[in-house]
Amino acid sequence: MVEASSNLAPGTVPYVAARLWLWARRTERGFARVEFISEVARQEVVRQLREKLVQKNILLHEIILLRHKAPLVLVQDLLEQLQKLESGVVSISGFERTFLNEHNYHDLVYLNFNREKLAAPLLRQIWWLTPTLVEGFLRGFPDLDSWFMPRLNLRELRSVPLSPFQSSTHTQSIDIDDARRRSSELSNRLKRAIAVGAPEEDQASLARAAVSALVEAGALQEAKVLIQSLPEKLLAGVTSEFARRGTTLTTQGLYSEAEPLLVQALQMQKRLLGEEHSDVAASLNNLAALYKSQGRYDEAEMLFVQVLAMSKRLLGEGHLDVAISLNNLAVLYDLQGRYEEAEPLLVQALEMIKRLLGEEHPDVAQSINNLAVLYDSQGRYDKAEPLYMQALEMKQRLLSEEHPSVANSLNNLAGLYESQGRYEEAEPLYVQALKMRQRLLGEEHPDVAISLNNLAVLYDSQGRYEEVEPLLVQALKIVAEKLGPEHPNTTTICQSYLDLLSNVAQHQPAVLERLLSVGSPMTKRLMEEMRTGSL
Amino acid sequence: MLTRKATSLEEVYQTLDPKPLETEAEFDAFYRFEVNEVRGGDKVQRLKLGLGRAHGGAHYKALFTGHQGVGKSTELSRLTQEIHEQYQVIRFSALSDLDPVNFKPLDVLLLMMAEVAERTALPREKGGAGQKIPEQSLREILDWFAQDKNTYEQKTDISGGIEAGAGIDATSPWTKVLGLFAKLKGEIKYASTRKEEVVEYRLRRLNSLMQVVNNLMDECNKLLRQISNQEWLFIGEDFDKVGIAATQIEDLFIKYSSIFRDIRSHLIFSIPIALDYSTQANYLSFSSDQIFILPDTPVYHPDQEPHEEGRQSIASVLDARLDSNLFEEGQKLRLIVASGGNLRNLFSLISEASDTAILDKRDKIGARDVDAAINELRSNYERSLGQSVFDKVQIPYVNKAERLMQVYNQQKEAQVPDPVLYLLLQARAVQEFNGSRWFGLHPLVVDILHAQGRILQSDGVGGVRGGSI
Repeated sequence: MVEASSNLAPGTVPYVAARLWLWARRTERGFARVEFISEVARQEVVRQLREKLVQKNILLHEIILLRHKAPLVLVQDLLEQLQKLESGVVSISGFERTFLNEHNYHDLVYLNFNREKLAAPLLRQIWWLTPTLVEGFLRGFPDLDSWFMPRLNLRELRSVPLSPFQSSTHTQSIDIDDARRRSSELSNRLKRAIAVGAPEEDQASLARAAVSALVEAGALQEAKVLIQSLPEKLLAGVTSEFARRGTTLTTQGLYSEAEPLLVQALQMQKRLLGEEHSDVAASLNNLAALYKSQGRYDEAEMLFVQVLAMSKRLLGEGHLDVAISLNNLAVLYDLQGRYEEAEPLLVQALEMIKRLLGEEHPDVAQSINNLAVLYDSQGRYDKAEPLYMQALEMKQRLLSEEHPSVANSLNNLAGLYESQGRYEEAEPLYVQALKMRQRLLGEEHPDVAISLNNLAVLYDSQGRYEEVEPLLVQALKIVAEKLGPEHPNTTTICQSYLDLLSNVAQHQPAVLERLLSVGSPMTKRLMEEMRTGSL
Repeated sequence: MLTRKATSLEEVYQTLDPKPLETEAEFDAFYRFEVNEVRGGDKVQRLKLGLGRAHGGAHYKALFTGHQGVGKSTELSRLTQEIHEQYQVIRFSALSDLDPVNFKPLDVLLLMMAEVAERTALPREKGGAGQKIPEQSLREILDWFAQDKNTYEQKTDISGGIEAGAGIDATSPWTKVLGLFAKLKGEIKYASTRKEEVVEYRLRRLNSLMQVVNNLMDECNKLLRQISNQEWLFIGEDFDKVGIAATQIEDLFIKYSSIFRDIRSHLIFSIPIALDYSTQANYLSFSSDQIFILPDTPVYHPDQEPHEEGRQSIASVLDARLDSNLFEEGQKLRLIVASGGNLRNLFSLISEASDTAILDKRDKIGARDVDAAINELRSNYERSLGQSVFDKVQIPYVNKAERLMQVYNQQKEAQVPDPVLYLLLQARAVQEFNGSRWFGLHPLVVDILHAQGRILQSDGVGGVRGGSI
């Protein structure tokens, strides 16, 4: 309950709720800023405040801002929402979704420029800001920050009160009770090890294992609670468990499960090691890679740029991590069609990697492949082909014949042949890549969907429409589930599928009849609608 | 806002609104002239003097600048009140009347043109002159824009009506000009939607536009003088707001400074203080006696001895807003010193301390409340000092600390402007005081350097010389 009582500890949920109540009950218009870490604690403050406001017949509105591509649109959206409200207190959260990190902090200008308009409605606004955003305000816009009064800091961390672990299709297979028992047993052993002054490596190893058991089972909240109880010297080791698990899940295409782990790892490392540390850079990179895989290119770019700058500062211009960062950023540009920006970065990265690792190294092969992809995208096939061949040969020799990276090279080379109309050469390579991916990554991996789509497009070019449909339906099923509707790959595959149906409906009556009888239920329904003109 | 002093902690928030003072009642209740005495004289009086001399003669042009939170808007409001017999002020803002991200120099000129015409025609009871602008001037405007073939293709989104003088014929040039201005203002406000070629085309015809604008200015001033012996004065504000790109500012005040030089009107513009420090300042079309800097109020002398007059002047501001009985003994002075003489900091410190005391069910602000408030503000200063990816120029903390120490020790080379000094000024870690234009450290920054073992000079009672008390 919110009580204006003494001895409330600053930074706690009751203190922040009491301060907000004090402010909200006596003013009609104004801005309060609350810096927060824990979403659960934040919601608890809102709940306590609402209870108190209701007694005084004051409305508490909540605005949760969605992610906007353009910050100006977010501001306009917020203004519209505020203008609809007549009075009361408004709790506004979600700024961090648009103003993600320090690389687009300059976008805060849109808040600064519109502050009079934002302040105009007769409302008491509580702005919930993450530490990164507060820093953006303090650093970049101190005069905007001075508009907030009070400025509060909710430091308390709270756990989710209900289910103590996150469930998912992936983690359900691990017995949570078993994981808890193992973790508890390992924690007890750790306590004993600390008590008897066992070597630090042993303590670190036990701590890692105890946390890992919970993380593997998806019991993130419990893992966090356990981490909070550990001595500080052991924290760096256990943090990496989050990162490791997050990266594994990213590789498996389980992106939505990977994200909280990687974000958590990053936050913990920043707290433990400060903003400038090679482990922080690594965590940022992992998160960026995840965003890239999810098609969240803007967010990925900001993080990759940040990693590159930090690596240069920490390790010097000539370090391997800098080369890898250059490469990662370039690949992202390539994906976005920003070829002119990508090329110099890729060339530089390749030169550095060769110099640092020697000519015979899988990373050199990867780097060569990346350059080939760029030339391929630009239609410079004569430059791309020898590089693809070279990369494939190196990977097969240095990694093994069966490797996801080899599958990537096969896929890429097939794509090149297809672009040149060399369908006969392309098909076996696509099939080989698809099968390898299915074997190595599992039937439902997003990369499998890419292979399915590519093969489908090839068949489509050859007029083999009946073979195209099952491949696209299967690919769609994977991306819809794993990547979500907004991912560029989902859009691409969806478009391929609709193009196919439309082509068949208009020009291929025989195929149409056939699909109506043997196609997937979705295809049958859509074809029927096309035929009757209702689509 | 209450316009009397707060007599209980519950009322404190009502008299500590950091918004600039605007109304006469607010000035009467809260404005204290003592502050001007410790910051190098009353700048408003200087501006008033210049404007008084210029009335009916040459056009007065000045720039006004100062660090955040020193009270620039309050001073400009005071000026507006003090000169109202001789001048009608047209205030406009880079934030609300222009598109702050995309505005171009010409937009400022067009906005001034539209504003002066509309205000001249606006009825007197609504702040205008209620006069009809001669048809000749209107025709010139229409003719100039008639050549601007692309203008009417632009996307415009006008909000709010424009009030015309009474009894105007719908087909008159005035009605057409009003429509034109409405479109122009929409374009100016949403400059990002405008075609680049329109801007370029207009810029090529700047000289002829200047002639049209000046004829209009002459007419409008003549009309205003006829009815009230006043003249129009433009006050352009918020050009110093963080986030307006330096290139836009340089375009306006340096590259197209001829606009200010040639326009036949009185004007005062706010500029970012960094522009005045920069080498570009030499290219401003304003001489140094036309640039007014509003400095901070010192709480320490350069040698870290207490600045009693400064502290007293801040105390007088505070006494106007709060009853002294709301502080336990010695606490008011602690808050004044910790604020570094910056009123925004002071108000925020007191509000924080006051709320802490209320939650503790006490009716006075005590030492513990002040400690907590100072700690909170100090931690903000600390966060804004370290090296951060938020900084446009990456400067390691060690370099900043070195410069801070130079400023603390009053080494003259510390005052040479460079990116380090800009950053520290923007973070308000370094303040600029007047008299002989000296720089000093914010007391909370002195505390931070002391805690880091960089400053060792003790004040003899457990604190550090130049720090909070």
